[in-house]
Amino acid sequence: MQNKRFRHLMLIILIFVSSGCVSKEHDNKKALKHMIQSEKLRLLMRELDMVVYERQKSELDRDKMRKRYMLSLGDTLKHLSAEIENMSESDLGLKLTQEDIQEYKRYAKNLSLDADEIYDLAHKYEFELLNKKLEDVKVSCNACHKQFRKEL
Amino acid sequence: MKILRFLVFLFFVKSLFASGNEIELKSLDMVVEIGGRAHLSMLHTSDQSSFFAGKIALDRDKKSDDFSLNARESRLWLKTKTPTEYGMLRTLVEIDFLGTKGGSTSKNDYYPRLRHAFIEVGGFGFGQTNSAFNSIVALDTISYPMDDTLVRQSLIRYTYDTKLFAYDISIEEPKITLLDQNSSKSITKDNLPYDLVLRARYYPLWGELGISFLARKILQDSVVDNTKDSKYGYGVNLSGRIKTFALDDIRFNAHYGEGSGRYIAYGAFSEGTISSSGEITLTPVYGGHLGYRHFWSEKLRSTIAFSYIGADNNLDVLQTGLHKVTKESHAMQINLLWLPIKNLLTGVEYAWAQREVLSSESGKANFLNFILRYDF
Repeated sequence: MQNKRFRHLMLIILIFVSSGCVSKEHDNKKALKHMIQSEKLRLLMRELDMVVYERQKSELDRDKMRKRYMLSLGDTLKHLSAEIENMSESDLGLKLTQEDIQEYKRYAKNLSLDADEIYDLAHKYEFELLNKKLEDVKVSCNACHKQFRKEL
Repeated sequence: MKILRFLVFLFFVKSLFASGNEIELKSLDMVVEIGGRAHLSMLHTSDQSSFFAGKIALDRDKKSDDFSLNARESRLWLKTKTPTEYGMLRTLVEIDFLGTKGGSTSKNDYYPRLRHAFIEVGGFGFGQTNSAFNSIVALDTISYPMDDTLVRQSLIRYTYDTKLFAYDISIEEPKITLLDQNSSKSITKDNLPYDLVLRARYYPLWGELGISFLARKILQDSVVDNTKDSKYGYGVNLSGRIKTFALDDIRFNAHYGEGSGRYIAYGAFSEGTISSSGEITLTPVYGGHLGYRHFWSEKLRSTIAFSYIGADNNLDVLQTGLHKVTKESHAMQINLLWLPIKNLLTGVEYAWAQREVLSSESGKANFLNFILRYDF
């Protein structure tokens, strides 16, 4: 168990160290939190996929489980959005123009809007639309990473 | 899962207004979903036992090995959701084919069995579904643990749901079995008040936790001559899941009750005993299980689990037929499940179980279960 925990810790550190999201000179807690929230997001999506295999639940119970996971996904996206919003230029370690900063904030805002849409889908039990929404989030994340990693 | 979306135009309302006649179209957006699973089960048992606490064959009844192959666990469900002023109205009807044990030798015509027929709106729910007393988390195994707390029955339930907590109050169908002096089961039917279940659930980031309380009146009216007796029974069930690393988790259940027999272990135990003078003595039943689920990779996972269930029957009442009454059972399960493609699950499970009855006889059985299942 200890070894496993150590391996996971090392993995997080490795992802953090090798990440291009922030500069190596400016490794900090905010960036680490960003990594952890991203990993949490991935696990939540995986848990959502596994709901179908939860035994001894009715389909209505499973849908309630899916709803809870979706609300947690929304919360995680909100946290991510807030962290991105609060990252300063020095946190990013990039020489950004005012325009870049506006663009960066726009990504944060979009993530927050995505979270709102996921909350809405959850309350309406619209699970079939979640995958499409998550694809949008993925595209948004990739675009942000592509744009703000290139200078590193 | 295939989803059919229907925009159902229910009715046209012609409303009259002071300014003149206007036609207003009202529509109801009902979504109908159809789904299910095709499930093939291949089971090898060492002595034709069933993997249930009360059905492990005793050594004296040993038979030869048995190999069976069937698709009875296949399911079909239909559910709807409709927005209303009280929130989403959701319904579910689900069937499987486990109700018939043996089909004919040529056609295997297993008949459909109702699992769920339930309606939920505004926190209220009614129909047949899982009891609120059930464990909120089940083991990720192919067979069931010895202490499985699972009852499906007719009920009326109110649920108050918040983000972190959910509370239920449920009035459920009453049924009582009592053991007489010959250890034969008597089912009492008349004048039974409904069973009451209260449940609280907690959904923190680290997992989920549920505790449920059962209150019921165990009574007999003329089961023995013209006698009457009643006792208040109860049960407590604690179940949950604790996430450990990545997707791994620990799953557990603990149960204690007096007069809660039928809610646990698929009828292996009765609510109590009934003496020759008609007096009821409630039977304490206790048990639990513990399992660890590990993901070897995203598509490959295993669970190892141990379960136990036992009861203290009143030996002052039970005189004969003690070999029919289960005293305790315990089991171990270990499996490997694989998802080669999305929604297709296959895997193999080895399970071992032992049962002891009141006459001190016992039996052991080994099971090897292979499944192929596709959810659609």
